[in-house]
Amino acid sequence: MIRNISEQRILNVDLTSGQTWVEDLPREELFRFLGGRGIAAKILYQRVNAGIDPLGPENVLIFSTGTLTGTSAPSSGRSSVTCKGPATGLYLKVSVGGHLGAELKYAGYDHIVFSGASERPVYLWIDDGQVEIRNAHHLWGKGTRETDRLIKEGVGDEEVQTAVIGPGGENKVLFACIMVSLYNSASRGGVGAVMGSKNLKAVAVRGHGGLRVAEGEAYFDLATRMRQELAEDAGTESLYNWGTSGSIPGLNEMGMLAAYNFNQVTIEGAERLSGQHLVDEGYLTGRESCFSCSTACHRYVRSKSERYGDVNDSGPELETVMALGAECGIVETEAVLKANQLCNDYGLDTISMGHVLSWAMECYEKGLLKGEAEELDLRFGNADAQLEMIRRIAFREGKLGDLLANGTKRAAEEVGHDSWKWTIQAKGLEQSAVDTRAAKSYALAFAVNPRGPDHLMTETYAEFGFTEESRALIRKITGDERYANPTLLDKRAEIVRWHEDCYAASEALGFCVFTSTAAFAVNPENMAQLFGHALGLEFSEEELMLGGRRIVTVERCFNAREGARRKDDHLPWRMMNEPVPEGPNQGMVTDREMLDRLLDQYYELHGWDPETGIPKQKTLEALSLLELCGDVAQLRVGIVGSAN
Amino acid sequence: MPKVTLRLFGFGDRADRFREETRAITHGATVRSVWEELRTTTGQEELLARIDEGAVLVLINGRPIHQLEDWQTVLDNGDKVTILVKAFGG
Repeated sequence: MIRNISEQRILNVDLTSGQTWVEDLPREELFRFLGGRGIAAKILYQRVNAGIDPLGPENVLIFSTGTLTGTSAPSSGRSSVTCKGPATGLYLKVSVGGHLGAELKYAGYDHIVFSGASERPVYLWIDDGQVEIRNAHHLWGKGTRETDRLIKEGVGDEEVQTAVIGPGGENKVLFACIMVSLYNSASRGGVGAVMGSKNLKAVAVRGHGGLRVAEGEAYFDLATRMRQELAEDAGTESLYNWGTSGSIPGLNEMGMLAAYNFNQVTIEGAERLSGQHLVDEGYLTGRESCFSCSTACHRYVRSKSERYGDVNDSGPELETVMALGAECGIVETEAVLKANQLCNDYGLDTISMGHVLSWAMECYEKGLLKGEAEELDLRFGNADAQLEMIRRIAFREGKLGDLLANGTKRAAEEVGHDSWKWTIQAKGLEQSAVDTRAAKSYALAFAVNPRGPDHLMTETYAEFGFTEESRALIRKITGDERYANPTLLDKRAEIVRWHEDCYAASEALGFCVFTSTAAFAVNPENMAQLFGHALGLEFSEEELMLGGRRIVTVERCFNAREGARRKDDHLPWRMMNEPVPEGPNQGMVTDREMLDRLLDQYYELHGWDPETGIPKQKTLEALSLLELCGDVAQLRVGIVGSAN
Repeated sequence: MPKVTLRLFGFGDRADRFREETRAITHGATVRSVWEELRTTTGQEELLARIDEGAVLVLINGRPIHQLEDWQTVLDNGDKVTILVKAFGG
């Protein structure tokens, strides 16, 4: 079946009753929310009531494809998964590459909305529009790779695309992830635990259909030009050569490499964690692209180690080597590759895992963790202890494994003393490894991120000004490229909001944000034109960015309805209170006063109430979000969301 | 005569190694002058001699030069000058 891109279809799956049905998405909703992440945010807002248990059947789990996913638009193969997150109790969206999104499009669907919970383990099988909820008893307890293999074997088709949870999701580890297309991780916030709470082991999709854009020739010409520009970008070449971890040596030299639970910002031997090292030492066995991407930043690695065992796996990404490596004081390449493989197979988010372990190591070295931690000698740098703890956490084995499976915020509440100060988290999500003491746009972006502090909702990389293109972007946003300096406070609100809008629009359309906010060949003007050609209408850059802002605002309103307010927009304690200990940024911190100044500017720019952080009614009206006005009016008088 | 420490990353046989050397500079020497001298004294077959300056990241004591006076930044005795092939990741 060949479908028009503008005719989006939502597959609903009620796992409690076993019923499935299809809805057509109204066209005007596509224009307002652009697709993917935007449609999912709207569905989440409509279908999830405030205060529900994220791991209960009232939560929904939404798989969404970008509007342009499955077409020739460069690097447009991204999907997202959206739900109320169990780590934070707030909005959660994760984005993922691979080939699942395109396959789902070709099978005839743009979104899948899971509701309820099955009584027994199941997986969803979609075969060109035929939908079947299948028994997954034989898959339960299996790792993600084995699950993927068994599903493909069962349906007799190697080309099937899957989204799978491992033991981490089954055991509702609050940072369990979903592995997509075998080697791509839909991480963060415990999205895999939500899938596990529904007894949904996997989604498997095969499609042979196609997509039709309204203005085919213009669409193809522009997509081809964008692909060419992307190929010529220096960032693209480095991502191909070294992968994301190619930036490790530079970060270490700049004193921006988080190490030892952010107690240090450099680490001896950092180059052994780099993408360059993976190539030079022969660990790299291959590079791969997600659907429609010519960059191929994804890696395959292999290692043989008597101590750590054999590894034949994907990755590791930059954040993974920082979290599982430097943060834990480990620079042994083979140990980090093994830790990454375990996390992938158990279905666990490597960023949170690294932080959980580095926090536990700090607690142990400061005498706050005894028993199992002592038996394992859970000190910084002990890779053997790290690998054992990854397994125990995945299965919630032992008191310590069960404690750490709930993430650092909840674990610190149990451990007590000053241990909460050492948790590198806010809102309940472990922060990614950017040092937000010395990068102020990142600091603001992380503080207001609706899912918690990380770089995967708003990537303000341009503030560093490393390339001519990034400095030009800062000039476009602020009027002066001197603001391409991460240590400045001025103009951070403008930089963050532009990137929020662009990031949300990129994800709604299905673009990889590396191409729009790290390399810059996929810019809002190009995205808007492609969207217009796909749907057969005139669509401007301003309309596209407004669509992005509409998405950000719905996400903000979802959290406000859950009770989140200005006080929740903060950074981990260490980022706000302990200055950078060494290096060129020594002494820097993003303290309460600085953050308040940034928040004041940001709320004003957005049209959000400065005291509560809730969008004002006139802001919602200006964004044509009239359906949210009633809820927001009630929030102001404390009727909705005050319980949290 | 003032001296600086040069740290070059990714320009040798291996992409994952630093090469470090101490180099004497003249008073008032800039990043530009040291960069050009470095390139002219390097064999043409080496990446350092051929690479476009837009493709390198130059740090003075850990700070990117575009946050200082860019290529016109004047070097002081004891400065650490790091030159890396630009790499991106997130």
